[in-house]
Amino acid sequence: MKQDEFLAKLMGELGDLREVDREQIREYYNELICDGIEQGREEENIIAGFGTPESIALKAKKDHEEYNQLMRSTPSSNTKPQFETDLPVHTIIVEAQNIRINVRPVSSGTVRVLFQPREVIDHVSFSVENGEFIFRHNMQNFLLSWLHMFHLPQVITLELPSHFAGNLRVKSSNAAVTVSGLTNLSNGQFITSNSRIAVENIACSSLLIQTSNGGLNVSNLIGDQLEAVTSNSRISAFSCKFPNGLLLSTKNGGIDGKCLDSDKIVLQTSNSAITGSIIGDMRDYAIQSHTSNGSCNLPNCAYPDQKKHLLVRTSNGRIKVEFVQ
Amino acid sequence: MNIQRKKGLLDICVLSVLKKAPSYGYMIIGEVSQCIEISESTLYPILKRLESSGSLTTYKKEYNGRTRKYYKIADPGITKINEFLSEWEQMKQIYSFVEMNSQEEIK
Repeated sequence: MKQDEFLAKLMGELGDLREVDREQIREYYNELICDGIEQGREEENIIAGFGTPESIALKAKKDHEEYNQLMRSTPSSNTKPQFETDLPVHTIIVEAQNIRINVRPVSSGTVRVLFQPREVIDHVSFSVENGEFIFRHNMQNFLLSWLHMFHLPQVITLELPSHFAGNLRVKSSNAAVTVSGLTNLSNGQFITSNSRIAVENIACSSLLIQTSNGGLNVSNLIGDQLEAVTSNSRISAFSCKFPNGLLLSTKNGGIDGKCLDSDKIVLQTSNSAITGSIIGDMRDYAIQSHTSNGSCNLPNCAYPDQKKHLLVRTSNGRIKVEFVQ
Repeated sequence: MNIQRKKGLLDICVLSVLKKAPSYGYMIIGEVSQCIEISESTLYPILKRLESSGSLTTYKKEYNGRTRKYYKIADPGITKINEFLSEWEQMKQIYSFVEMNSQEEIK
């Protein structure tokens, strides 16, 4: 095939594209042929090397589609919500891999997740069905995602009305979770691993806060039951009121709990100190306290009329827990 | 080679050719194919994508009685190359980790 015939056929095959795009492709191939001929190659051979006009056109159209999609998705619409619902929701589940999750209350509005998935790497499944809002993110193609991990600091932000009355599960891995300002949760689960969790100003009947190898910071929490668990790191709690149960548990990290208020309190670690204060009268509590190496300011006592329970246990650390009114 | 991975590598190879000096289609194919297989129809969308992302700019110049389109690297393109190079040490660690694990057999 000669140059003119090839280009004419190619243009014919590209009929669907815009004139300007077709012209650019024509120029591109025309130039390659001219350069090839000037290098001493045979016109027919150069053109044969390209493949058939049909196959080139097919590929060009496909590339063009991909290119257009890319152009549509790249505008920096970081704040534009893509995962949103105004349907009534009773349960919200947001899970991510290796990306920080931030839960942010809004005074009113819809439930939405703000996140810009990166091409190739981030895979998101999103659904709202039967009152369940489910957003799940995971990473694909480890090698590529690994390369991109260091580029933009990524965060997934969940926005929900501060008075949202329902269940909330937020789970990440290898990245922090922060939650604040929700006044009406029934069941809350904030989970990650190898990273820290910070939770403040929450009212939630049943609350689980769990990580490993990362610190926990909780303050101004109220509800029925709280479990805050980590390992190899510290727990710091301030002003937590959970009448039916308050558990702070770690290993190899200190526990500092100030202004704790509950009828059933468990504070346990190993190899570190437990300090803090409990709101109430010491005489109301049946107390079990134990440390192997360290001072302990609590007694071990239990009388039948004591309805409240306090368990404080560590080894290799001191215990200093005060009672305040 | 995995197609997505190859795509990323081709981008970098093209940019590295342009880092030496501005160049044109025929020449770029010649240089890149010394290292990795690339066809004319593969190069075209790469150039277009790199241009729209600002990694390269284009200009036209008279040559032998016709115009030739030249591609010239821009700062974001140079940044991409540098990022790629700085990732190499970490990439090596991953490769040797994978290699080691796949050779090791627990008896």
